[in-house]
Amino acid sequence: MSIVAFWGSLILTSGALALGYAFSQDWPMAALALLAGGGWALAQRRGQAQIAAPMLVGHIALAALGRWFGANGALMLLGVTGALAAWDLQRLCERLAYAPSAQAARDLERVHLARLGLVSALGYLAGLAALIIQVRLHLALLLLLGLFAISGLSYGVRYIRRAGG
Amino acid sequence: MRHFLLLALLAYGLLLLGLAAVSREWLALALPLVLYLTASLALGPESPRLHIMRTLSAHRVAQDTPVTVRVSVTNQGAPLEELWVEDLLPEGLELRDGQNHALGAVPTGGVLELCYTVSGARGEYAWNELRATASDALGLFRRRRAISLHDRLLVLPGGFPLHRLSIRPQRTHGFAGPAPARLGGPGVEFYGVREYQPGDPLRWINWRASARHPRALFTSEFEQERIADVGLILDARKRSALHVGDQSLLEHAIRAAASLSESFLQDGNRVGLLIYGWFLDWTFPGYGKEQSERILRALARTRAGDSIVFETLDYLPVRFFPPRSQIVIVSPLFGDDVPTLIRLRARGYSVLLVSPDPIAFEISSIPASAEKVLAVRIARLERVLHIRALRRAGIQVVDWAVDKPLDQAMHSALGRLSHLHGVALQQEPLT
Repeated sequence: MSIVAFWGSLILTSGALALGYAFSQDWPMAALALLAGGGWALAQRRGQAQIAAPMLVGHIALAALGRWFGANGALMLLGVTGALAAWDLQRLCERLAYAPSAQAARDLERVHLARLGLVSALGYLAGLAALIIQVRLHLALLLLLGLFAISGLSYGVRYIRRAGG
Repeated sequence: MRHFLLLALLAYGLLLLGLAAVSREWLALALPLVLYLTASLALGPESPRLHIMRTLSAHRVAQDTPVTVRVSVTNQGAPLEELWVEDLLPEGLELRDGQNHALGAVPTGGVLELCYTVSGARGEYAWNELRATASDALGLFRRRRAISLHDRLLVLPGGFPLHRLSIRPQRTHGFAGPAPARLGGPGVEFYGVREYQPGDPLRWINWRASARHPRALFTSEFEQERIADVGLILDARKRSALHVGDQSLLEHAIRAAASLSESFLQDGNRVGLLIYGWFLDWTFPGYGKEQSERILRALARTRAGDSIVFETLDYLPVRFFPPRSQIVIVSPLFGDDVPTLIRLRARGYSVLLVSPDPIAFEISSIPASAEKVLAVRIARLERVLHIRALRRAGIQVVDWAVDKPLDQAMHSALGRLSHLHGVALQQEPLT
């Protein structure tokens, strides 16, 4: 089940990115998006799980570049959401190999897919809302948000290190 | 942690880029990542509260016998969406079947079970720790716990089949046993003749001797058989532990020691064990099955020791053994050991040396050459001279090529010597 979901996510992310670039007539980037998806698929077929993280970074970079080049925002957002789901599902497939029984694996899979589906859908909708709704921010507020983001990151890392032992 | 950092960096990269470029599109791209991280953090697990039980199908097995290990992990805390459990295997044990780790969702009161089979070579193995990692359903945020859980498995050395061994120590105990006591009395073997005393059974009267002396009657005496003290010494020095491929001469010596102790204990003797190697591992003398178990445990733990102090047998603590008792030494025999063994004999001990032949053991691993032939001849000559010196001193020597059965070597050596009351005088050819 999770492997089917992985392939679905991968097709979704590559398709969305390629389509986004294609709509803006940027054929080389569209081809690059398809190539990246193909590379990820090939790595998965060969069992090279370590490729997942670089592929996630690559797909997100492609989506970010797409926005820079003026590609469709909703499709780029779909590309990011799909890449995140594909990366997550590839990790899940690795972990499921250690389940003591098929039933235990199915239980884990069910909970995981439900959680991932919900988080991805909410993430996509939130992103879509952010693309549609326009809010004017003052420069001071922007700087404050930037500072908040940086301090939040360092706090988060410290917290995770402490909690994770 | 690695995954969390990766996502956090990506999300913050996009956020900062969006803020720097004042572009809501990039901020929007970061939102799925931010939501994913938030969900993982918010729904992250508490530190797992687990009750763990490990059961072994046996705690004491023979070499290479499979042992099934079952681990049952019960969740006594909040439900765990993903729990990864790994039972750390003791070093040296081989996993033969199943897995020593598992992943599963465990609700409150739920149980995650591991079942695997291990086997190993002779030794003592200890399980000390089990690692449990709880994570959220997305597998991003984890809490680890190392749980102390101790269990031991003893893999005992296998013995060789041995027939009953006859020993003749100078001193025996008061209880009936198998060792000739050098005293007249009830027994089986003829010992001597003495004048008839009232109360002697009539069937013990020696009519032939009585016929020679018309006015007196004579009674036959038999040699009493009693139990004896046997001190077993295993040479576990580093230089005695020769290796050829995956075979070790020390393993043969350990198996021989196990067989000998079993045989002596079965005859009712009091047996003690001294392992001379890394340190002096002394198993106090005792009788019966419990002593057999103690000795087997000590042998199971034995490792070759590389100690400068115990490099030679000079520090052999002979006072551990009762005076004039039987000492059985299992050692490949080195030239500098000969004087020590002769001194033991001079102190009144009956000494039996069971010597696994290191030359026969090593010979197959050396490629054939003219030098090999010469070297083997010299080594053999030296060994024969050492053995001859020991036999001259009254030490019984069993020269055992380890590819031959120990029983055969013991009985061919001791059978001949028993006629000479434990004193070896036979000559061997030098080549």
